[in-house]
Amino acid sequence: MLEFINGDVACAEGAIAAGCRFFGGYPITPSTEIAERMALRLPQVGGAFMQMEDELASIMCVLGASWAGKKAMTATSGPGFSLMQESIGLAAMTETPCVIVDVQRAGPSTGLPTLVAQGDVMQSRFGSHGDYRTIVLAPANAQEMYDLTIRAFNLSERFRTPVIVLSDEVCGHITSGVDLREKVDIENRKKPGSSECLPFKADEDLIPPMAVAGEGYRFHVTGLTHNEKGYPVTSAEVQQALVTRLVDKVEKRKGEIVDAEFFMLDDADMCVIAYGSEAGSAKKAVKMAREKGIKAGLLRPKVLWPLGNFEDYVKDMKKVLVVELNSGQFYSDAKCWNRNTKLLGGYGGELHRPDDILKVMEVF
Amino acid sequence: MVSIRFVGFGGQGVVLASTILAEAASMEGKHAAQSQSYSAQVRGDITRGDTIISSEPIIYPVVEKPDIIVAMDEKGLKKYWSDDAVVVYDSSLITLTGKKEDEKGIAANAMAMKELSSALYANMVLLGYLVKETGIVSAESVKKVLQKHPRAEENMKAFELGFYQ
Repeated sequence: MLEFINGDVACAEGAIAAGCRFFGGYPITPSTEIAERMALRLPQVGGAFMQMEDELASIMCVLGASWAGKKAMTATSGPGFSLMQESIGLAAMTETPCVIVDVQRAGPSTGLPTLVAQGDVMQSRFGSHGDYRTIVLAPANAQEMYDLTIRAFNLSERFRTPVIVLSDEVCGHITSGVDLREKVDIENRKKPGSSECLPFKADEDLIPPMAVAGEGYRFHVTGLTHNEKGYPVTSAEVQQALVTRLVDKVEKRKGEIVDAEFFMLDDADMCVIAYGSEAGSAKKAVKMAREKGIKAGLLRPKVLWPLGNFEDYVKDMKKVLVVELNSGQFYSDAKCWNRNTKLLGGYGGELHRPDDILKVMEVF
Repeated sequence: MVSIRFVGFGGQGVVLASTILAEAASMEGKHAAQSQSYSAQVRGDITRGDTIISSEPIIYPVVEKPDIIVAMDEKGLKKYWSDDAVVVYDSSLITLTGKKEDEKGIAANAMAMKELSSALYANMVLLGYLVKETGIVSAESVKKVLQKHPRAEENMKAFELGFYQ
């Protein structure tokens, strides 16, 4: 069913389709339409919407809802995303499935509330203290706000980890036809089979089944380093084993997670790397470059973290140009793949114009 | 591909008008995308709404060179002025030099005030006039979209004021 809606609304519809039944949040431009839509839609499907007093409380009630057995999410922008970081770490440590949408605007601080930027790329990866791995998806248009939000819920349920949808103002506010699919593949978290449940004992896939409060299991959940029963243990060995597993469950299985679009790369000698709404500018620039005889192509990661093995696609290119609306937060990794890698960065306010990207490509 | 840039100040319904136009085009089976830029204030400051209508999928949603500028305010028009664009403007709020051949003015604000007692509907008057002058979409498609919006009756009346002017 084709609906003419903006990216934020598409994100909310994706969440509902994926089975999300709880939203806790605090409105902030340019993510507010997600909260608005969820406030309308959740009661219609038997879910609950709760506006909290701030973002600290928002993310905490999302974690609580997840432990009560609901698929839960929140949505925010840079300033709120900063406030949520501590509890994103708590979600990683307690292996709590949840989805956090960050519709990026220009910062630092309150910055440009209504205008686009991509400054939260590193914060989405390593924003909380301690060591952990998040999964970060980067939608590039309204349709992907729908599709990747569904995927975010599925990944968070499969890996028992917070998943971040790293959107941006253009992606959230662009209004276009979005296909709200009739059939959607949905994944649900594993539940313990027997009454003897060790709530943090992982199966071979590195993921422990998740008991839900109120279903009869005894368990304990804490942000402290914990044993398989969930109780705090002050021990280097337990810390080593636990955090190794938290990292490995994402890194060792990243083949299931990583996804990218490859556009006109087969015969290219110049690879442009861009993601999110900047990818639209870059794709148009690549098409214009082709018309001028420049053999360019586009690599667009749809998953930013964990980092894909994109080196194979990039290492033999003559030139690599990373286009992003920050000072090189993705470039810092991408430049390791090819010596001749340049950055076209920026600090936001508006997307790079295809013309401007083309100019850089022409003199590269 | 047709690119239409709506400009005005926050609160005039610039973004809404461009969204309704885009949705009407989408309803007719065309590819349409609407994007926008506005300030953090609820009212005032320059606001822009971009509508792109195309037979091909739209990969870059921002208008680069507008074919048509729909202007509701002089400040916005100055900022986004393009020598190559047809300018459709509210002549009750904007005075153009008359140097341009393809200027099309309608006293949208004054008409909305007179007929509907509110400047809120000036955007729909302008939209009606734009649709009549350019035929980008059919009036029927716009009316179908308007039916889904609050105050459909008043908006429809405003649209017709512009369309049948």
